[in-house]
Amino acid sequence: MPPPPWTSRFGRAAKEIFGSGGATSGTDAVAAAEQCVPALPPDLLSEILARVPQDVAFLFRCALVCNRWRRLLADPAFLRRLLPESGRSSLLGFFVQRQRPSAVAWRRRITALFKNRSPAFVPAPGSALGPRRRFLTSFLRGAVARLLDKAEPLAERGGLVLLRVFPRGAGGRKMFSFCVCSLLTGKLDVLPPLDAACFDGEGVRGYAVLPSGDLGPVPQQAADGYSNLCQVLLVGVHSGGKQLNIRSFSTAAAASQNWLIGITYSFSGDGGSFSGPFGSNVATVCCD
Amino acid sequence: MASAGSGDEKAAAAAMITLISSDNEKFEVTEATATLSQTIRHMIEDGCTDGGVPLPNVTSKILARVIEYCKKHATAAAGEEGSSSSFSDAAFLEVDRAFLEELEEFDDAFLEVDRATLFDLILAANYLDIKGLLNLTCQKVADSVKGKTPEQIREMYNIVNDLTPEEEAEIRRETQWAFE
Repeated sequence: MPPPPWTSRFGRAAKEIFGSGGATSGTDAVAAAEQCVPALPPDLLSEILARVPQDVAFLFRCALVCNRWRRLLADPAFLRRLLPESGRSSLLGFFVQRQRPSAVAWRRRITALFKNRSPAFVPAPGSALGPRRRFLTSFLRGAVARLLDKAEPLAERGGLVLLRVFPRGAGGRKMFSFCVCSLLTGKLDVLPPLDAACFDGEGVRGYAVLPSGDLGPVPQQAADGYSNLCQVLLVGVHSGGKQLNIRSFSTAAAASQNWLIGITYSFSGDGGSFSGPFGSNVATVCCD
Repeated sequence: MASAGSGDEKAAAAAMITLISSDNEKFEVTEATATLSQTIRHMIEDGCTDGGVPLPNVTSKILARVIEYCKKHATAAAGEEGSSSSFSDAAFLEVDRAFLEELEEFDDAFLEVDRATLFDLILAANYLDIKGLLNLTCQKVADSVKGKTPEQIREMYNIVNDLTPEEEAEIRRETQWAFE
């Protein structure tokens, strides 16, 4: 049984070391590399890197080491290995937000955990986004921290999060300001403000964000100034729960770039009402 | 090293296995020690260990270390089996805990080797299919990488950065959130 080539510490095999190749500039450097790092077959690199987590963000940064590492870290078989045995759930985690300070002990504990009111992401056990609790702002590029300081997460789908934000000098509670941000690309779009009066002072009862995959089979592009292709739906219920009022906004280039009044649905008579139990704010959206 | 079966009792002789390193050095070990290696376990099951087991991928220096590990951990495995019947006995549990601590200390000391030896141990553990040793040694390397920047990792392991600036920019773009 001849020894496999990777056992050789000399010759070409030594160049195929732990990384994607030994030092290539000069024989001295090659000799130095051979001395301190013997050859490792590629399947053992995955054995090692699979033991580096639980911080997936760190692993992704490791893709910058060299091409071999990059290939391994992008390999679905390797990434599946990082998931826990029972990791069939796709729940990545949830956003929590600190409320105003309170005398209640558990609220004080939460206040201590979250230093500001920006939404914080709490990963589910075994989440592919790693075990670390982090603020929403850590997902995003650029100086958006101030805008998201008191942002309220409203809905999420396909990695897009719909937030209500409270920019300074934007009319306070009389105007709705929303933004959509992508947790995957880190891009944030601020939607045009919407006069709260359109919901008759009863407020919005349901929110939904539909990413591009939900917008039909025709490929569309986001309009200039927007990076996330999506549609946002706001649902209001008024007239004693008898009337449904929908406002929608699309970032698609073909759309009007304004908030549109959707169809108003009404219940007649005493047959029923749109309000859920306890005035809940739950929205379910079905797409054809 | 002595060769197997020199006048011992037949049973004892049968339980001994001779391992032969790449530089032709012979190591005699008990079957319990040798079978921590799945590779050797399969050879024993197939009955092809007569005349010694040649290990052309493992030098005598590394094989000696691997056997040292296997001896210690084979004793541990035997200890676990022996004490399982006296599970409720506090004294036995105390002994167990002390032994586990000792085993941990052994593992820590075992890993105090230079990087070349550590990588040779990884290769040997992989070839011989010794799960515990592979885990121990790979974890040691993984720990050395944790928290390091790509530059530091390249420096530590003499890895040449063969990514173009465009590829680097692409990686950063694809996983933007991981870099903040």
